[in-house]
Amino acid sequence: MSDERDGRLIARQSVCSDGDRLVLAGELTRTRVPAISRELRKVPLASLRVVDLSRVTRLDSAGIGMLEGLRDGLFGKSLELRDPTPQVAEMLELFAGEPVEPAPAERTRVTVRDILETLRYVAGILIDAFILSGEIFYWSARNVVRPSGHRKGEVTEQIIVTGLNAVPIVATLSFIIGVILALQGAVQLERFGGGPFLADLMGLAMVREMGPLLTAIIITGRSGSAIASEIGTMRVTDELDALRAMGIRPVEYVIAPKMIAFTIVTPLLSILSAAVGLLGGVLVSTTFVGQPAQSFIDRALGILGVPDAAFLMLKGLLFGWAIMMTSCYCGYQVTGGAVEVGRATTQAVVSSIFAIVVLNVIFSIWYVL
Amino acid sequence: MREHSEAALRVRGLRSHYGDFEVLHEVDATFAGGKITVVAGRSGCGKTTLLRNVLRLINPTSGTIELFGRDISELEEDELVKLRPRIGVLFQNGALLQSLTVGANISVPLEQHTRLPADVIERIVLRKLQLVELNGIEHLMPSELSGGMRKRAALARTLALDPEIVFFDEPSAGLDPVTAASLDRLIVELSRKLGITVIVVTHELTSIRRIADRMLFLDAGRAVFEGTVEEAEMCPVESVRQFFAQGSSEPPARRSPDEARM
Ligand SMILES: Nc1ncnc2c1ncn2[C@@H]1O[C@H](COP(=O)(O)OP(=O)(O)O)[C@@H](O)[C@H]1O
Ligand SMILES: [Mg+2]
Repeated sequence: MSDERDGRLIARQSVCSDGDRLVLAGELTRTRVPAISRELRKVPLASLRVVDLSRVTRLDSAGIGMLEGLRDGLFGKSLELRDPTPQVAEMLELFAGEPVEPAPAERTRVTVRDILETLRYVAGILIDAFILSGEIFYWSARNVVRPSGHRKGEVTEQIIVTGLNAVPIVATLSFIIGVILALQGAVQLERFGGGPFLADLMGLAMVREMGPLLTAIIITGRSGSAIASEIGTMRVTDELDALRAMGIRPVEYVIAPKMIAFTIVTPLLSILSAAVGLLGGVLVSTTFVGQPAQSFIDRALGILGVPDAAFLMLKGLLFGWAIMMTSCYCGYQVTGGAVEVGRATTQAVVSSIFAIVVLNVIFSIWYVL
Repeated sequence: MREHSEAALRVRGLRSHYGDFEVLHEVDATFAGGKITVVAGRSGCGKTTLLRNVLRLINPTSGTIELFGRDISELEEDELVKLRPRIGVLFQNGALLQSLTVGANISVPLEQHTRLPADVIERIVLRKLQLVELNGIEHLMPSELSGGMRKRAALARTLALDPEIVFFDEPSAGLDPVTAASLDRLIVELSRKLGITVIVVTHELTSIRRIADRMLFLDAGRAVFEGTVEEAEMCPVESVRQFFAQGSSEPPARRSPDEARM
């Protein structure tokens, strides 16, 4: 190839190739590399042996990356970089060492061993969570009897934070849901003259399902996430280890007061939620159906028995405990930094809601039997 | 007066793993009572891991840890809880409880391990704050303190129960030279005046020259040197030599009067 022809070609483009020789020209920098790479894709490079760099005016790491890509495309055959200018040569020298092998990619084929590993991993999680739950129950119970393992006033504070402060939102949401549920129910019931049955419907729905469920969801969002992020952060900042090093059990000092507060607060909030939801039903019933409040309430309470009241509280309590265990476990799993705290918090909310739904299924089966 | 000539802490054949990864390989070390021992070594060589094992915050794979004359390497948590008030630890970033004020932080160990009346606890808190030169900050939250103040406040908490042995994990990391120097002075004072056994993890050469009575050198999870600082500077082991060579460009910590005049 004559120099004259080279020059002509290079005036138009920065890539010129004839079989085993490739001439590059101009700047091989991160702004130009994308265009040059596109050009290179159009020329056959299988028999490439020599890259002429004499006309390359500048080279940066993007350019070097591109040259390395060229060489790797030759599958082990050597590639000569010819006639670089002094600056370009210096740049090449800087990166002259043995090329770094990229870390091997993760295996993607799933083997039986992978499945067994996963099962073992899941079993491990369940066992860990079970052990943690046991510890939480044990130390919480002990702290009820002998409240010296945590800070004075901590339980009261937790009752205020998780319970009292949640009252407005629980009440508001329950009322709205109550109204919505009652409206939907009333429309359907009216169609075959079943208006008075609205009280039965609302009584059962709020007490058996919506009360505990709404409470649990709000508690998850307010307190479950807070617990997971608090414990996760305490792990990241060594606060849990610092407590242990002081001869203080984190489960007893940090978690037990929250657990005791949860135990007191969740059944009560569930009752509140069901009651306010029923009030929403009363509103719809008086304005829409024309059934007076007194008879609505009498009817709604009439269909419910003592077992339902007990179920309501028990359900609230078990949901609360499930949120507690899940959130603590997620918090304890944090090992890295702030990003992991965020992930643990999300995980706590998602897993708690999952646990609540699973528990709810069990409860439903229990009702039916 | 307490007799300090013998070892306060002795580690034998200590091995430690994170998962399948062995961090400490059969470490042997002796820490003299009433003295300041510096644990040095490159970042990632296992200094913090050694500390965590000795404190039983993680469980050693094998080996013995003799503290206060008994092997604690297999003690149950219940026993450890009773033992730990005699041990103090200052974590790398202080590890103050973020939800409590500085004063409340310092009273935590006092409230949990003693039945002292509240006013006595308050007095102790103020005394300890005075000791670390932080008067009048007991009502502040940890987030309102600078890095150096946070560490000193954490030290006050560490000292709340008058421990017999105190561990420091990189006390001067992230501090300006002046604050670091004052913390070093405090460490030396604790050792000399109160006779506390001190173990300091650090790789700051200036700090080592200021405080160390003895040194333990770790290299990739092995103890490669044990002895005085003077002996360490003569030590032919490659990693130890390198460690002292990196700092030789710095001015010597203590100048003779002749040099100072020049
Ligand atoms: N929680 C952990 N999980 C897994 N590996 C860890 C963990 N903590 C430390 N390591 C590893 O153990 C080695 C020693 O760490 P460390 O004791 O913190 O070193 P240093 O001497 O800097 O304090 C390092 O290689 C580190 O990557
Ligand atoms: Mg460390």
